[in-house]
Amino acid sequence: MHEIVLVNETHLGVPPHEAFDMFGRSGGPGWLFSARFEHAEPGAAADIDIPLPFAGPGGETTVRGTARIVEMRPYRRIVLRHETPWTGRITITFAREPGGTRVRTVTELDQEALGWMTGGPGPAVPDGEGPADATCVALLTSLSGSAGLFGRAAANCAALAAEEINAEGGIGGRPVRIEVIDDRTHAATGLARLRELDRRRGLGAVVGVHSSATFDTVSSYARASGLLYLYTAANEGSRVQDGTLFRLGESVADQLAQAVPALMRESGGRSWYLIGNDYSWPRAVSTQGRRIAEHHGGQVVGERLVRLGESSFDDVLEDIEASGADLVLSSLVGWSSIDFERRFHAAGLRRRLRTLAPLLEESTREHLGAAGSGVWSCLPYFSALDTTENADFLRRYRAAFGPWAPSPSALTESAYEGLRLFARAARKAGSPRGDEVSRALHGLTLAGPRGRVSVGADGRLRQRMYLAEATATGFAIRGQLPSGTA
Amino acid sequence: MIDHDHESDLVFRALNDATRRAVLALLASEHEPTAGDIAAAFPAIGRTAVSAHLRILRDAQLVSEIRDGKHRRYRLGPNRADAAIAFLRQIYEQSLPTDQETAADRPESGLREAKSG
Repeated sequence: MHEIVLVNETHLGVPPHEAFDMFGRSGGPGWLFSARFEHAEPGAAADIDIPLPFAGPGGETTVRGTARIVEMRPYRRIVLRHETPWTGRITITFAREPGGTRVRTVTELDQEALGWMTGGPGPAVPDGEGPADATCVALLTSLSGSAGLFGRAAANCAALAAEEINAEGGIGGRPVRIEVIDDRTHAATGLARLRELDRRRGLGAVVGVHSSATFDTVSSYARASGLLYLYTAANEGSRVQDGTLFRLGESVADQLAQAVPALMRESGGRSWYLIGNDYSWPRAVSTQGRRIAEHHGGQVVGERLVRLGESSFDDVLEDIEASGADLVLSSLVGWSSIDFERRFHAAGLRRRLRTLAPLLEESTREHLGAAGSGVWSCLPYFSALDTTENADFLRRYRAAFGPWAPSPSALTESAYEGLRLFARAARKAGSPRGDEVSRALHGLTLAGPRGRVSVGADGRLRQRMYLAEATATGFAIRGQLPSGTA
Repeated sequence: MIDHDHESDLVFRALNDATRRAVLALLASEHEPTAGDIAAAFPAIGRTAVSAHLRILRDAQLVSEIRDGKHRRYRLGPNRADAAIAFLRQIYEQSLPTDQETAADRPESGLREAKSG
């Protein structure tokens, strides 16, 4: 599995317990790419900044990735699993020696890491043919960049769906094979890699868990080539189906129509501050959030859109305090959301202001810990859902990917639903053609981890929405609502 | 430190320089540029220095030289996989804290140094 092994050693002039305690502490010396985590314990998610030999597509010289502590023996040994942008395992050992501590890291990596070392994005998957008898489906997602923290769980959910589809005999006797494409949270990279993979493999479908910026760029290619494209992530909801393109994910209206008035009722507040990243989905959240808040007697006292990937929020926090807002609607995505909520918590604002963050899901929350406690979200799935279907799903997921794999979320679990729906529609159509599978999708139902979902005649997914509050360790479900009520 | 053979040591050293990494990035994006093309892409560095960088990259077999009439053209290889692995090793090696950083992070040792200095 891991084909590259790197061994590094260093001597530190401090005893092992001091060397050990420096690990992961903010403000200390840079330990393993400035790994940051809330608590040094197994299961804790860490974010890391890996320097790159060549600048990335946006000119960046580091890539932000995720790792997870899988083993912790105080003062002796720490084992981390790399999750993104590539996978691997890092074992750090601390041994007492004259004058201090010998720290040794053994890093085991797979070939994915090499792709980052050669400059330029390159192809998404290695050269060569796929198995001729398989139906190839691409999972287009982000394993790096500001949306990169979603990709590993999405890839896991897609792999689990494929395994189950294949255990049922595949589609028309052919197995399904998933190829994961990392768009690096960069629309042009997503398009180039998808095009290249489709040319080489002849894709049966694309399931998309990525930003709407990538969707806007990639959709014209899918439309022109008749490729079935199931975009399962939360989206603006402006146009549901367009030929072989489906926006199956929850719409902004689904997420806000009930959640905005619910938070006003719960907190007694009416003055909203709107903060988001500057691209299509957050803009839709701000526009519709304002309309819904005003409809319920609220008002917007401040609004700010920052670039995707923004990590500095000091002036935004000052602006929020000065605005007199008592509620915040945050449509920040991925790392921007984490950086904002950490600062918001550290500034003590959580005590006075309630926050609704419609894209705060498990991948994001796991990096926040106590700093995210008290933030509300509204999504069609939470791993905390107490249903038999979800318990079964989580058991299969943990059996396949281990106890410390990132928890599935509405965003990432949607890859599972998208693939199951594709397989069902392709079997019903009896043909791999995108237009025929598209027609077969209408009227399909699926009882999955999030409960019963169905594809309407308009191509829209009918599903239940859940209102939940983040705690230091997960989400507490506060209510459920039907979708399509806006 | 880790033992590694002479050749991978050459690769490792060749890559430990931002200009040489930029030259490799250029070779990855352009088809067999001449020495003049490469020098033109780095106007601040000067032709002689660019030639010196190219020689180090050639010795490590990270780039190869092709004669084309009176021009010399350059392309990546044959040692591309070694280069990628050397980059990775360098990245992970630099991710460990140094003894100096650790000492600076300890307030009491900082004081001791101040006294003895």
